[in-house]
Amino acid sequence: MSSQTTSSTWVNTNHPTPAGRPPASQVGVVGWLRTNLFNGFFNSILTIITLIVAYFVVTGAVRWLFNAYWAPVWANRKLFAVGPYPVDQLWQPALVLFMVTLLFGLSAGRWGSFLRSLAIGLGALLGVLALLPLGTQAQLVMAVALGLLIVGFVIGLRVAIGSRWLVLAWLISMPVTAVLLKGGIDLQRIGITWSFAPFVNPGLYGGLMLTMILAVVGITLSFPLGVLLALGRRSKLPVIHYFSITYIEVIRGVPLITILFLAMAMLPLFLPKGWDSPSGLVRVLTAITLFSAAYLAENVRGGLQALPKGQYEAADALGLRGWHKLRFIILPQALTKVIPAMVGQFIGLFKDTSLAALVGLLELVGVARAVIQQPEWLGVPGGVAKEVYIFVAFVFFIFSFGMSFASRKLETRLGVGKR
Amino acid sequence: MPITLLDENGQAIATESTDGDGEFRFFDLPKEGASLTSSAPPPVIISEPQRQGFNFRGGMNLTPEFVALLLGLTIYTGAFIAEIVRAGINAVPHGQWEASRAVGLGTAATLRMIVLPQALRVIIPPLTSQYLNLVKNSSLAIAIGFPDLFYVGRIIVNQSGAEVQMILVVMATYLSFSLITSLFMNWYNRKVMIVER
Repeated sequence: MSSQTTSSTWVNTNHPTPAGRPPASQVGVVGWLRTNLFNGFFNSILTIITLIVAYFVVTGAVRWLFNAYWAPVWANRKLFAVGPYPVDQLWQPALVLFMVTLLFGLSAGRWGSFLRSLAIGLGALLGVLALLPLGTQAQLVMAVALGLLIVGFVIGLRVAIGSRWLVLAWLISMPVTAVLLKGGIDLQRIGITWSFAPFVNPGLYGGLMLTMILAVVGITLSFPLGVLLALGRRSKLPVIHYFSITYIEVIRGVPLITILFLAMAMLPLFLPKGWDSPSGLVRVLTAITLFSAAYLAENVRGGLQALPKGQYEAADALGLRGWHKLRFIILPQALTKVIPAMVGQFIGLFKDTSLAALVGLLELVGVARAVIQQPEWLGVPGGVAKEVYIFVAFVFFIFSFGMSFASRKLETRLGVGKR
Repeated sequence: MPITLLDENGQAIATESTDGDGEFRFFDLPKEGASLTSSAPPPVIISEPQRQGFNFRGGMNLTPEFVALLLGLTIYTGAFIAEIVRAGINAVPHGQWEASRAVGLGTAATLRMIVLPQALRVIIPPLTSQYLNLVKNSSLAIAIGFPDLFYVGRIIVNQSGAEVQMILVVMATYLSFSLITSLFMNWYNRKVMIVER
């Protein structure tokens, strides 16, 4: 104690003891372990039991993974990618891939945010595929796609393309994809036939390509239908109101698989006389779209209900009517609110496309079922179902995870639930 | 009935007779006798489940399809419900936990008497739709060849060709299941809802 006392002031020259470091058991790895894993008797026991179980599960899984018989997956990589698409026309799906990666790169460069992370993921995937010894042509396709992704990204960063044009390009890319995969336009009913390659039967589309087609077309078509149904359910016109309610509740009350079978059996009955029977692809797309629209309608309705009544009244006060009120005031706010819910719905739709295998489409699961039946693998002890299904599950997981990652990023950016 | 065990070369190693219950047991087998084959057809035994020692013997097995369906649906839906319950518990303000601690309740009591009753209000609506999904997902049994309603429906379609009618019947059945589940959960939801003044 060496304080100095002068006549009027007292100065404490005794510097306070600097705060010592916390004991080693409270910080760092040990401290973290103590606070999170071993804070108490029961939690310590739980941690130890969990560790033991995790050890056995992980080592068992890793051992199985390296000893599993992956030959069926590797030998059928073309089937898993595009299905039984004719081999000498594979440049057509390749062109589609180029178009999509270029557009994706442009969008990621132009709009940024979560698309950028997704583009990095897609680029990594394409890079890995280009390095795997898939076969010279396939590797070349993947490398070119990766190149186009990067080129598109750089262009999108440098050139200010109007958002409207980019959306338009995405919308146009869908019919272009249809024409490219088909090998031309085959609309005999209205007298248009044009081809640049032999026509490919839609029954020959398959694999991941078909899964993507089902998911993307289903999402795109069910969105406007879902919004219309949601608006219809809130409509004051009784016919529209009750029709929407009946439609939504019935569709939501039955399993997708029954709707798929119903579409397979009944769709031709709804077409005018003399029309060609629609392909299985069209029937499944119709079923998935109608099914998804009902669920989407409920999501959108949630957004519409969450909107304060003042917004409607303010729009009325401004003199906006009908379509303008919807387009500029209601829908932008309502849809923004429910984006996370809708993305969840889209992930569900993506996973539901696997049901198309049950009505005979050769999408990923359909290919898996076909591969398991191949005679080459009959002699394999235990069958090859485990390996094939785990591979398919892994592919589904990658894409679902990408989408849910994007949704989480979007949620943070839009600040849903934060205001 | 006499039973003979042969080795790979067809040499008889041991013989034994079945007893009244159709059971038999070989004694003094050589060590290499692991891969022996029986010369006589296995005895046909019609059995009913009987408690023997620590286990049941006889009876029937569950089919792999049924177990696969049960496990698959349970694990898949369980993951979704885990997220729903987590969201529900997160929705209870932290102050409720602290207040409960302050009045001297332990963790288990807090969870049971304070947190869960409030969380249930948030949990029930999404849980309802998850259960509805479960009912509808059970139709996926057809994918693994379990003879559920839809499977039987397909057989009837194969035999009669009345595809549209059959699918409509199946749809009506699922619709009624869904509506009943929905009604029950809505009733329960009203029960746990906050009674507002």
